[in-house]
Amino acid sequence: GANYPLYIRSTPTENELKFHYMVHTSLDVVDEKISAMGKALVDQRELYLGLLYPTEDYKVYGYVTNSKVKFVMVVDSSNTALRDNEIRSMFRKLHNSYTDVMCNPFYNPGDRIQSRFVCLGRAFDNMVTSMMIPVC
Amino acid sequence: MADEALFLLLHNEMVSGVYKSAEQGEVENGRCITKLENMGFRVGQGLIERFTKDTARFKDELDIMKFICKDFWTTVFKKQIDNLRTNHQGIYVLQDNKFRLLTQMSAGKQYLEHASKYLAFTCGLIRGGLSNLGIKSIVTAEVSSMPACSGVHVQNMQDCCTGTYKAMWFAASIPHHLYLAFLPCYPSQLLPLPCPSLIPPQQTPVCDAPLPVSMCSHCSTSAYE
Repeated sequence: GANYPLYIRSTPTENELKFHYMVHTSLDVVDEKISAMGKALVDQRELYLGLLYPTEDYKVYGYVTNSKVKFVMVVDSSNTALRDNEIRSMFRKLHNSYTDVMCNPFYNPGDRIQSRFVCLGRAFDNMVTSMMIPVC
Repeated sequence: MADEALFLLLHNEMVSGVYKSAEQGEVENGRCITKLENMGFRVGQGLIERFTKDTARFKDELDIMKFICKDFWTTVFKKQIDNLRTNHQGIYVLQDNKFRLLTQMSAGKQYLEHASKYLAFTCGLIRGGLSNLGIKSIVTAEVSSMPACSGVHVQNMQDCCTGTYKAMWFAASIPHHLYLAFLPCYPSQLLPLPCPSLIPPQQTPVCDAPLPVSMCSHCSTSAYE
């Protein structure tokens, strides 16, 4: 299936390309985890995948919906205050907002989610903004 | 109960609206079914996103079909699918003995020729839902006797590039519910029926070997024109 991003956003905006690359490489890890789940004896039924892989500076978390939509979150390693629960709830918010976008009749499934379309992408974008912690 | 009537009435108007605009030459006659099916498809995509938001991850295809038969069907039509059968090779038959969108129409063979118009949207709904869950399918419906003991055929297709597909067959012989003609909207409330539980595929007669697509049209009404 296609693995192009429907939405990608980073803060601060410099080094955006680095984040794009990290997200892209993390997709392989996501696929690994999903296929491992299928074969595992233990029933892993959660949508939240947890920590995908840590790097020196960042931690990458994943979440895959039943509709095969993948959410990837890259968090600064120095941010030790952010706990697993909070990551989970951020993914839940993302999932809820994505569902709203999907149910909007003016959204064409597979299109990029763009905030210039008010009432379509903007609500999603604003939700993401509210979750992002500004780097001092 | 009012919310059930809302969708039913809206759906009926949708069908008649599409066909009226066809008469006025806006839409070719043969494309009405396709139009309704496509509407259902888009709605199915959105609905399935909402319905699966809080469910656990599906294990496999059968898990998904059971979800469609139980949770999905209950949320949309306020009842479960009465019978699910499969040949375990990609064909699933969903049998609904009292399909909500047809119960108001007739209790026998009357209006049977129009049934396909009222099934197109639902076929699309299923196809759209399955599509967003990663299953490419063909969904066709069959009615042998109103009110909808209609079988829904889900034909599962692999990616076209692999060149293989599985075909699924539903066969449903539906008993004739005469009493429905004389009862108000929700007969199940007045005549409580034993609720047929979802029959696991292993216990039901399995269909014959998969049939190729071209043999699909032994359905009494085809969902596509």
